[in-house]
Amino acid sequence: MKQSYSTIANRWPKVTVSVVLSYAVLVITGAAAIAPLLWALSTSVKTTTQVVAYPPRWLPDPPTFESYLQVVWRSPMPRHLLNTLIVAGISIALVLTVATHCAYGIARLRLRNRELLSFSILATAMVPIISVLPPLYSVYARLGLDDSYLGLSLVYSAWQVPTAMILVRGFIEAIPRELEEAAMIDGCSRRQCLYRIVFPIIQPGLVAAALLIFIYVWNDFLVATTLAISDERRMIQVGLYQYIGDVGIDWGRFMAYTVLASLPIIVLFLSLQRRLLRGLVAGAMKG
Amino acid sequence: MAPRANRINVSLLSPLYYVGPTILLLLAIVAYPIAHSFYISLHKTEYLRIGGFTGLSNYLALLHDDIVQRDFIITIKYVLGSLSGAVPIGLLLAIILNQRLPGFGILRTICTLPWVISQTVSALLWIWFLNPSYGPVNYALSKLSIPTLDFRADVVLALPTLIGVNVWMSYPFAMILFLAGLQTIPEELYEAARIDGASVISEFYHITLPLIKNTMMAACVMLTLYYFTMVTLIFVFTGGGPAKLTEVLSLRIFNEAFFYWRMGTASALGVVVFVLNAVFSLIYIKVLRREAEL
Repeated sequence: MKQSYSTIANRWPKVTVSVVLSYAVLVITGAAAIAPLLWALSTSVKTTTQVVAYPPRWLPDPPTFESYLQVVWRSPMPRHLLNTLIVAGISIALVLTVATHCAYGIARLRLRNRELLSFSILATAMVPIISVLPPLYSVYARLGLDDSYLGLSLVYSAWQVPTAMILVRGFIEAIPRELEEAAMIDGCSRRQCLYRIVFPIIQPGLVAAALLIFIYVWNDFLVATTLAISDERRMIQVGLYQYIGDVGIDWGRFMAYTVLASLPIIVLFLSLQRRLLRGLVAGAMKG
Repeated sequence: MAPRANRINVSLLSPLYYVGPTILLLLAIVAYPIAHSFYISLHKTEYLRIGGFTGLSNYLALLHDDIVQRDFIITIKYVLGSLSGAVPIGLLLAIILNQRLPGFGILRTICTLPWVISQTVSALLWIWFLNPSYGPVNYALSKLSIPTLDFRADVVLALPTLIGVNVWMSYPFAMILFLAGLQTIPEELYEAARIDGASVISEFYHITLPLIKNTMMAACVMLTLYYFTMVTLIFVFTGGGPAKLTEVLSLRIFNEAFFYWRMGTASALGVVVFVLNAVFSLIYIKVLRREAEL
């Protein structure tokens, strides 16, 4: 991953059987990967009669944004979007605060069971959410945390803290200790070291962690459908799933919502691909 | 002595300032519910009310439940079927992409897309793509004079179709991990092999495969953990149907808890899945340790 594709892939290869096969496999896989997405996109800009036309047509003629207008103005989608953004915001704030402190403690303090602690924290990320949801629901119902932004955010945060912690710890350990030691000689306390010196330096790591948390919260269905049942707290993936019941068989509008529910993630991925993939591989391999 | 005692106090409290919140959060949201789940599973339940202690009877009931046994077999089919699709496809694509030819950057991006979108969206995209009346797949089949297939509702096709969608959604993950693994193999090894006249196939068996074996093991275990505890894709795509033929264990937990409201059974199953998952995780850690030693 050290060298990017664009710098290396500028020489044209000799045309051999293996090169032709390579392109063929990639193009076929790429087509299979993207076909359902393009079909949904096409459906979302068709008129109601074109949606159910037989034989099916790939290109809408003429394209119409009626379905999108319906979803944006005449459906609860904006509310679902708002809920998702609020919960993602709370989760990001919570995870970054908690994980940064923990990563700093593990990286810099002389803790007796440092590696055991780090390992235990990571191990919790392996606990399957589905095993936790039934008891968690009972507990939440008793505490009144069900159907609340905070309740949802706590669950997302608990599952994102371990990865974020590992990611941030890597960034902190890359900072030379001398920087903090010098500051401490000048009278900086441990905490001031974290807030004034380390915090600004690890910004890129925090941004990467925030993006991973955002994608996680945005894409979740399971936790949201269990813990946030009311219309007022419904998250975007659940709203999408239930929209089919609301619109009956209007696939144009349904696919418009589907496109809207995946667009932010696709845009984020396309623009920040390399950083996100590196975060993923690091998170997966550093266990 | 007083100042010294004071210093010890501070040094004991100071780590808590940093690691305390994380530990508290994980204890409250992960550890406590698991313990509570175990507690519930040993009791009679009615809706959310926990009744008298019943010992292991919830677990014994699972052992004698034919449907749970069938769910277990479906889960194994689902996990193994998905693995045998995603791992070879991921490996093949990674090996091809590692050649870094022109245009491969954008092809890699396109091939990664299915992994980025949510399980809900993946399921809905394929429901519409495979629609018996208006979908392009059935139209293409009709051109080949194959009668219309309702993939999701067919007792024979439902599980393979579900596995297919899961492979579509998850092969990029294997691909990305393999690509990262391949990029650690020094180019000189291949050059040396080529000078010795090795074929592409013998290069694969004698250089590539041995050197990414650990990455492959890690990817297999991670995918197994992921497939084993999946709910959303299956819930949205088939809902466990037709006739519960695609109901995997984790979907069963979901249904027991939030459809039938049998928290005792759901908790007992949840504990079983948790323990099996922990066993897989231990294997994963062992594999990673071994990889770290190499």
